[in-house]
Amino acid sequence: MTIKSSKIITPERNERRDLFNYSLIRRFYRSKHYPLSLQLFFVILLVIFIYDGFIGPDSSDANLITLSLSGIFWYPMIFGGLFFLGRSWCAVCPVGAIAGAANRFNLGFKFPRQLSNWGLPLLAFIGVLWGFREFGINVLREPLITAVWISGVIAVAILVSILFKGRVFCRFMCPITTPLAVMSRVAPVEVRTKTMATYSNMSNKQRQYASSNTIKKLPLMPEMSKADNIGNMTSVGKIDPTCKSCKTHDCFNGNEETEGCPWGEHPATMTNNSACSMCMKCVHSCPPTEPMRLRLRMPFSELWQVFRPNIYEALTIFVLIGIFNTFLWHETIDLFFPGFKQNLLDGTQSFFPFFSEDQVEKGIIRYVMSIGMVLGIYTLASLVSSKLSGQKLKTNFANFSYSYLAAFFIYGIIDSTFGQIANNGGLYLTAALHHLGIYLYISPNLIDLSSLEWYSTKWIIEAIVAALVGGYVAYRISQNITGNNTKKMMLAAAPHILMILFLVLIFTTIVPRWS
Amino acid sequence: MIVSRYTSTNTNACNVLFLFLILFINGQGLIQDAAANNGIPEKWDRLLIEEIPLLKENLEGIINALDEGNYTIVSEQIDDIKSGGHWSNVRKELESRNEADLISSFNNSLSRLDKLVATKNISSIGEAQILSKDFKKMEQALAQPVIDFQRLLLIVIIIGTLIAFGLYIIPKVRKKLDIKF
Repeated sequence: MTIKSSKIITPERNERRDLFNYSLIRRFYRSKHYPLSLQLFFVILLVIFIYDGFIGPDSSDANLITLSLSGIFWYPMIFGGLFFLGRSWCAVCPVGAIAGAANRFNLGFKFPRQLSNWGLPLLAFIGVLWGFREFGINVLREPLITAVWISGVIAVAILVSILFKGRVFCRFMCPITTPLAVMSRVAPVEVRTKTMATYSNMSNKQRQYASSNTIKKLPLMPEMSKADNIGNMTSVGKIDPTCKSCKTHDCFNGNEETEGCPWGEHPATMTNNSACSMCMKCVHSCPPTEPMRLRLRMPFSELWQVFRPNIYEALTIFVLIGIFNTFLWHETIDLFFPGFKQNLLDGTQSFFPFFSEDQVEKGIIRYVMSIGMVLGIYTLASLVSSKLSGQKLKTNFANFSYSYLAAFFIYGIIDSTFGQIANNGGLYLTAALHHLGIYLYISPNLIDLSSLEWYSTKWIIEAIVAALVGGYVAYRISQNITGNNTKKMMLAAAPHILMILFLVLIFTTIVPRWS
Repeated sequence: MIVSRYTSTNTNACNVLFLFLILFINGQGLIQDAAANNGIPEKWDRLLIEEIPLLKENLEGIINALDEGNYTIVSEQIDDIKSGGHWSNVRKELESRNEADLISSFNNSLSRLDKLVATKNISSIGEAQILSKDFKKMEQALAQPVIDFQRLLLIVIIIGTLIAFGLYIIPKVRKKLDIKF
């Protein structure tokens, strides 16, 4: 079966979707002041926030550092911003800016390959941002602790940046790099070259090959020499002819005026958003008429066009889903296995005699078990799917995780971001305006989500849209990995679509009713 | 060279912003001195995000306790409003907004309720509802913004100046140390 001509993205269609065609956007992103001016702005804000954290009010609702970290910045700007601009936050992040500046004076050590993965950031994300709060260290809601934590993060970022080559802290140590990396794939914009590898103009065999996890990884890593990285550029997809003939690769290596990609990616071979902060260093270093584009695309489309699916990323997705849905463990386990929770708790506490039963339960067991449950459910679906469709379990596991990410993202963004703004928006607005000299009081609850009207509206958006989008992504992934064989495609997709529906219904309907 | 183009623009912008900042800081000092001489009352915390929910909690406590006929709790809640710092802060904010009517209305309702509760009078339920309505009117009044233009301008100028200064100095440092930003 061949691909329909209407589905093929022609160069002309691609060019029409280039946002650099709009002068305002072009001028903004091509300006040498981007992202430096915004970085400076956020560095100034961060200094003010840390200062307030140390000497400001004790109340987390009044102190700027907690207010910004757990409210204003995290939900609307970072989490909400992922949906529109991917991980653009990283381009203007003050900690990244400080780390980037310190990195100019690095001593040139190579970061150990064993640590060049998402292990450390995931550990920091689960442990420090979530688990520690049960042990009296809430780095998001206690002003002084938050100030100390952020100062510590900055100190580590500076130290790591001075020691090692490349943006090691942002890639392999920042506590929020993993959620940003996986969720940035849903964004409807991408920085790419004029000609690029896309699924739409590949043959079915090529698609199967690209979605297979046996494909050779592109080792564009800072710890490798630039010559090696450039040498490996052509290992996948179409390379833009201009980039092929380019002798300098300024976008990657940098030039006299601009540094190369701080993330160690070459735009010509970049096939996903997970390591692109849209800092536009590549655009700045490449001449304006040359191949760099800021292209619009269908939201979530990258999730079924994954060139390098790997188990690690799939595991990360389910760790995130597990963390954000710890109530799954709390609410369900006693129903299905009465007494199991208490036995586990008693057994685990003997290893941690210094902590109370509640701390062990909330700080350790619920995270481990919640992640385990989500992962177990997904592995089961993958196992059934791979058996039915005759695929390798590894390929199935790595590919279909992105469909769950789509459903989770919609559910998460509506429940967390919209819920947070609806419940505490007034509080954030009152406090933020107060610091600017605009005095007023807005009730914390902007919208009464407990009313039946709002509950129904939220449920429709959350549950139906999440299930539909997740299901559609699963269908498209299935199409790619089975080479359009209808029977295999249906058999591969069905278990995952059913499991997405099951999880979405638990997350959005059953658990909120219990709690 | 691109850097020089931006540097020249920034130099001018930076000078202008610095001049504004110096004038503004001096000007603000004079205004504050004048205000102090004119007997403007002491400062209070205008951020009422803790005070208003506490007042609301007291009022809800009064209504619930009256429903249960528990006059002791009602008295405690009334005392809490009268003696607690949260009502004092809200009152000061309302005074600064010239909302004396709302303050006296709330105070009157509160003392009437206090008297009725002392005699365990059944009509205290109606009075508590009047108190609750007075509180809602206060909330509405406080939702109207009062803008401190001096502070707003100062913040904008300080942050703007720092950014302009950064944009001016960073290319110079970059050039001097021969590093890329």
